[in-house]
Amino acid sequence: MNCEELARWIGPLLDGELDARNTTEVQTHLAACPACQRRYEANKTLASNIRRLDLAYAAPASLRSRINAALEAEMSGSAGVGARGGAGAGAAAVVSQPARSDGERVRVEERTRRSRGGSRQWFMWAGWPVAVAASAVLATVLLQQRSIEADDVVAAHVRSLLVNHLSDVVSTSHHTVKPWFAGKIDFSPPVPDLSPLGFELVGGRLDYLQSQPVAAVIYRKHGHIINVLIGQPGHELGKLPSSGHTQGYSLRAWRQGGLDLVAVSDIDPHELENLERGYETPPSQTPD
Amino acid sequence: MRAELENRAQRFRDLIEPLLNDAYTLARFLARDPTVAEDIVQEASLRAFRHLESLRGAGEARAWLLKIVRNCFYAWREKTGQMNLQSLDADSSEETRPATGETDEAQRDLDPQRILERTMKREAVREMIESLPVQFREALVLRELNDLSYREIADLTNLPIGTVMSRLARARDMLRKIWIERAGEGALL
Repeated sequence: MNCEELARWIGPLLDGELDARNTTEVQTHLAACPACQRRYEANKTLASNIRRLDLAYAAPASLRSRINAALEAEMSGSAGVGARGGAGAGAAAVVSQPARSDGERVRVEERTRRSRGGSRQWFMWAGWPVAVAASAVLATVLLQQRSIEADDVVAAHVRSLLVNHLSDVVSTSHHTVKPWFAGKIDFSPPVPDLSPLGFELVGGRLDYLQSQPVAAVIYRKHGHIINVLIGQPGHELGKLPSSGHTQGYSLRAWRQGGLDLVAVSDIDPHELENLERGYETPPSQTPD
Repeated sequence: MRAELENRAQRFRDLIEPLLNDAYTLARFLARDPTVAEDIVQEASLRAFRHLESLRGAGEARAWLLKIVRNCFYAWREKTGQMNLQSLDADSSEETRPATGETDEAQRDLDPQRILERTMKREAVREMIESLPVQFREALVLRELNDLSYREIADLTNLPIGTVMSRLARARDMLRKIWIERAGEGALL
């Protein structure tokens, strides 16, 4: 085996693709040839650098949600995400969300998308020319999307229902939910006991909106799920109008104790007002 | 009918879902665009779901799914008319600085400064791979990041195994050259 032949086998040797006979031949040559030895070492170094850097990507949470929505639509024939997105959309998600411990990547990769797009949009994607046009539109949207919109909040809400990732901590006690956030987020989100108003606490969750962490406190009333998203001062959430209505969901935004809060649900908008009042003046402290 | 779909969904969860990171990684390196990569993987997932019965066993799932991803990528590329812009001269502004001073490996892994450096380095090397011509970065990613065997890569790309080997060798040579150009010889030590 000459040096030229050997060069061809260095890769396969490092990749474990060389049979025993050739391995022996290559190793014998390497031991006797400093030039080839250097070449081998250079290849080995490159391979170990690539491995150490862990260059693979994690599939973004938004992608998993999209696949989920597409497969749900495929399975149900026509029902779209928006139509099913309300409370009680309990169908098991096909694709689960990655663990949030992958936070760094999720934060970088995750871009909230217009949830309504979900399934309908997907069927259009099947035609590539449309996909191309649409991806140009999406790219533009993403560039402009640095400021938050009601749709983003709704997307977070729908996502939480779709992917069985409603709560990281499941508890009906605010004494459990509130401390759970400590150490996970830089502020202490208010978690009032609103049961006198009929809002049953479901749990808490860490979420990301516009790449910024938010605390999500989840309540339920009459079977409707309400996500209360709470961001610290300076969060994009603070730029939302105080109330809004989009895609069949209602939003109510307010500021309290220096934090920005947004409640989102498919419940009657008046109930969100009640919830906001309950937040500002927790019922247990209201003199009766 | 419904039961059949439920079974298929279960099979998708078992066999395909664990491979979505692999699928996204390949799509991302091929398309070099996060949005397009998501579209490709979504399309590939739907195709995989529809043709799941043609997947014979769990052992073949990775190569099977990645082949679909690859097909979706080339379909997208053809439709968009995105030719192979062989930008080997991609900008060198994202230069990584070679680590200075050798310390204990374990210590390095914990030091925030090192973590930051490694993150920057990771991005820099990802860009280097993206700058390779498509047939070479494809071979490299399938082997180094998707961990496929030569045989699997050959089947997936419809190439003789010898061609796979030479493309892989070429890809590594090119990557090493760019690496040294951008980050200096020391960065590879």
